[in-house]
Amino acid sequence: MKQNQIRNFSIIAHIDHGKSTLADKLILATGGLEKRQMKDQVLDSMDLERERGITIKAQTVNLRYKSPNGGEYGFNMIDTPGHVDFTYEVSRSLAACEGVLLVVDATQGIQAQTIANLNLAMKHNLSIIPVINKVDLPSANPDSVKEQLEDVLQVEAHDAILASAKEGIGIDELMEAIVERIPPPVGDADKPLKCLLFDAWYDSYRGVIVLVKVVEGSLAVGDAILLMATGRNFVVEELGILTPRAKQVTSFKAGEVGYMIANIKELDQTKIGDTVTHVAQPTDAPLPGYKDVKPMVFSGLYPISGDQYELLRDALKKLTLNDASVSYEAETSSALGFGFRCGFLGLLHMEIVRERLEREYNVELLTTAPTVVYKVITTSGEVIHIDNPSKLKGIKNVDRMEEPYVRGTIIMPEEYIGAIMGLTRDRRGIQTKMEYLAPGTVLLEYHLPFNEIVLDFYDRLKSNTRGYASFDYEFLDFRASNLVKLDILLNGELVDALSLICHKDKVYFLGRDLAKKLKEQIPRQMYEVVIQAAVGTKVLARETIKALRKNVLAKCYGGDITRKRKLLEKQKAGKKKMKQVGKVEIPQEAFLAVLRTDGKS
Amino acid sequence: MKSIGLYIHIPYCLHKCGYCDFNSHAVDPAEMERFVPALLSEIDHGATRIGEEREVATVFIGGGTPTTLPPQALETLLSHLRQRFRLAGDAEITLETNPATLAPGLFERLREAGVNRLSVGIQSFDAGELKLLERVHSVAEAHETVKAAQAAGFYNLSMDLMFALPGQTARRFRKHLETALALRPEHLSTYNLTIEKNTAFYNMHRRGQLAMAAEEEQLAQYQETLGVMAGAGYEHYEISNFCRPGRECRHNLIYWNNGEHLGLGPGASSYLGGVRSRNCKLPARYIREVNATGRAIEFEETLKPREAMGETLMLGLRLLKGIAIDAFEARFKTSFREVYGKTLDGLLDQNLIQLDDNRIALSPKGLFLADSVILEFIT
Repeated sequence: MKQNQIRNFSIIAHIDHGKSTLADKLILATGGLEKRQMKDQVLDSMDLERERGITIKAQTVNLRYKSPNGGEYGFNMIDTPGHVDFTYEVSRSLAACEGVLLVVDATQGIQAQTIANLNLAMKHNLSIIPVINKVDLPSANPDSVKEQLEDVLQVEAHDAILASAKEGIGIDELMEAIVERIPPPVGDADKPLKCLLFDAWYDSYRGVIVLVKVVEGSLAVGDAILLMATGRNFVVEELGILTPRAKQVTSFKAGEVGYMIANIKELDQTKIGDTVTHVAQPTDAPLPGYKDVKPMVFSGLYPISGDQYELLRDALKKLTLNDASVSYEAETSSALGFGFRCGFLGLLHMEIVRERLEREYNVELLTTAPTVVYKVITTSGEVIHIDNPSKLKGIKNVDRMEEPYVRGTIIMPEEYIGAIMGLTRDRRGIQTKMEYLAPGTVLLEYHLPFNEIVLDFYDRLKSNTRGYASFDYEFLDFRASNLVKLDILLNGELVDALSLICHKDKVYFLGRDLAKKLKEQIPRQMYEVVIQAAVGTKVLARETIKALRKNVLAKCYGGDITRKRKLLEKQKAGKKKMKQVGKVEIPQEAFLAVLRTDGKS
Repeated sequence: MKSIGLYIHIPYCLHKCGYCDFNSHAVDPAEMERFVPALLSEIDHGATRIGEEREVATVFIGGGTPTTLPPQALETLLSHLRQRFRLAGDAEITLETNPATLAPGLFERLREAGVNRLSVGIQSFDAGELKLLERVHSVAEAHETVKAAQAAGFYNLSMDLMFALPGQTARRFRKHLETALALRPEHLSTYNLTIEKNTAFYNMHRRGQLAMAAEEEQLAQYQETLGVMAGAGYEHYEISNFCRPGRECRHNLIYWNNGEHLGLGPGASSYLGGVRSRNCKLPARYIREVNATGRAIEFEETLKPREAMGETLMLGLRLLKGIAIDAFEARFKTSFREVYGKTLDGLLDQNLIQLDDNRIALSPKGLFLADSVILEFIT
């Protein structure tokens, strides 16, 4: 296919604004799949995978479009993960595009993720086609959305497509707009190969499968290639496009997008954003923007029962085959024993991984409260990264500490301004912008310490605005901060897994609150349990859980001994899920008690 | 010759009390007429389950309230039992009753039919407390019932009392104990009120309409009970049970020693040859099933060794003298220390159990925390 017949684009949207439905409709409208097959694909995806031998990512597809103008076009619709945790991956996918479809819900207007995604698209100078979706709904207000687009986002909106993906409204018009308003790729097919690797996943039949866009030059089966970031060489075994059925081709020319299989065994060898070139005639300038993604949020993962340690280690090993952005290293906690310190791109990513470990690998996990990475700068100028509060111990000659900040965007009905200003003040936020998007809808922008977000910010935000606020953030920078380590002692013994780093101004309230929450969550035991919150040797708060004095059933249920035993067995199962720290039995939830503090007690 | 205990469940009461989660149902004369023949059939079937050479050492007719049945029916039941089972010459034959079913001549007829032990559900000697508990008898009827039983020749009589009732104090409960002791029972059971699921009290408690006594108050009343009963010369032999020397409830000792028993009647449980089973609970269904098949078992499980061991401790530790370790080892053909060594060390460390050469028992401290101690032996 000639370059001027190709259109490479992504769909970007706030969650639930209709991105997937629109993608499905485009696949249907271009005949990529028939309606019946789309259903089959969902239902039988496992079988399909086996049959074709590769995993299909349904949303990154090559579609054939026959325009009423007589021309024939190849659309490469490139999937993006959309969530803030995966911003870097999104930006690499967008780097493979010349345009985006910016989908906005006609009933809700612009939301936080709309802005975050649009900012990324603008950084790449992409053509933007605004799509105002769900115009069929009675509460749709497309004119107001147009105004928001123009006034707030400076996006030309007079020729926005009015659509209802669900009802098939505006789809034909949209496809014509893609042809007319998104430019074809440019790139010299005769130059040395320069190819963007923008997605990769592990397939148990074929090894690593990567998605690439050829920016310059051309790529053919049998070529010896070099992945420039990792310096690894491979030979191209198979090239193809997903229609969404996999269709093999012999080569890609500049501007084309597709999958590549090259006998790559480990996901780790394929870095998102890397440049693929020929071994024999490499390009002299790799594509810009490559970076090694670093985990932002860390948490300790421990097996509830010690004999599951090996199982957890194997599970992490397998899981990282599929998700190279999770980092893990063995660590030992005096309270919890052997486990792993794991790094994640963000909170959602952490949730996903934790759930997969429990569901797919059947490991019962105890998770410590998440922490961000802090920097300690010593008097000699050495920079030490702290991904676990207990690593602060033993560092001498500390000159200063720094904590990561993010830029957070909140969009919500104006009646909640007061509540949100209160919340962000408590979270040490600095307001940098306030703007009305429409009468009654306001946008607030803050610089916030990332650790304040990690500790339950999102749920607080939602509950403070009855679910109406949308929130997004991006990493800003590290800033010097007055930070201290808050420790928890149970019966005088420090429980390292409960330590956390927080700002000095907040430590007193947080310590008191945390001690109280722990008192609620640790069940009474046969002896008194004293909870202390301390900074260094200074005790900030003390709570006492009184010893259990009487716990005896008067009756043994007549002769129904089975019932009594089953009752005890159930209790015992609950007890086994607790961690014994010293003599004290602590339920899992207690290790996350800090997430339920409000620092106001 | 191995002996066993026999339990007969009569599932009817004049009224279902608010705290009660036992298998009891409001009296229904028409159904009760069909119930008695069904029970007799199940007795026939039950006799074949244990074989002829086994002797029945104890019989316990419980409920419900067995005396909701006409005296005639109880007489038939007892004579039928004698026909079908080999009752030991000194068999303990207990019958539960409550003061609301007192009738002239009743106790004489029961005595005549062979009942030699009565267990009377008194619960309280305070009119207000009886009302709260939804008991349908008066304080006067409680006194009359005990006196009538003694006059009829019952010299092995037990009373039930409940403590830690909402608003009750240790002083008030002490008075109830003293009133009970003045009636000179051979045996006394004192039960701490507990809130069980599927009871009226449970729902009231959840709605905040019923306040449970605080833990400290429960403890105080229990300790008060121990003091009063010891002062009166009663032996504290099980967590909730006291007796004059030699007057333990032999039938319940079979349970606590994890011995074999056969249960007949709706919801009754059996433990025979390492298998625990339980009958269906609803009287109407019980009658239907017995009439069709001779039996009404709805649940059965064969215990794994470790489960049987756990049960032995769960039950045996309720006895103040605890468990004989040599008997345990002979029964399970294993070393007690080997199975529970680590658990024992932890409990000894916290002073919750006493361990001598051949017995394990709760310590005075462990007595109040028996459930937590027992939990340690459950897997």
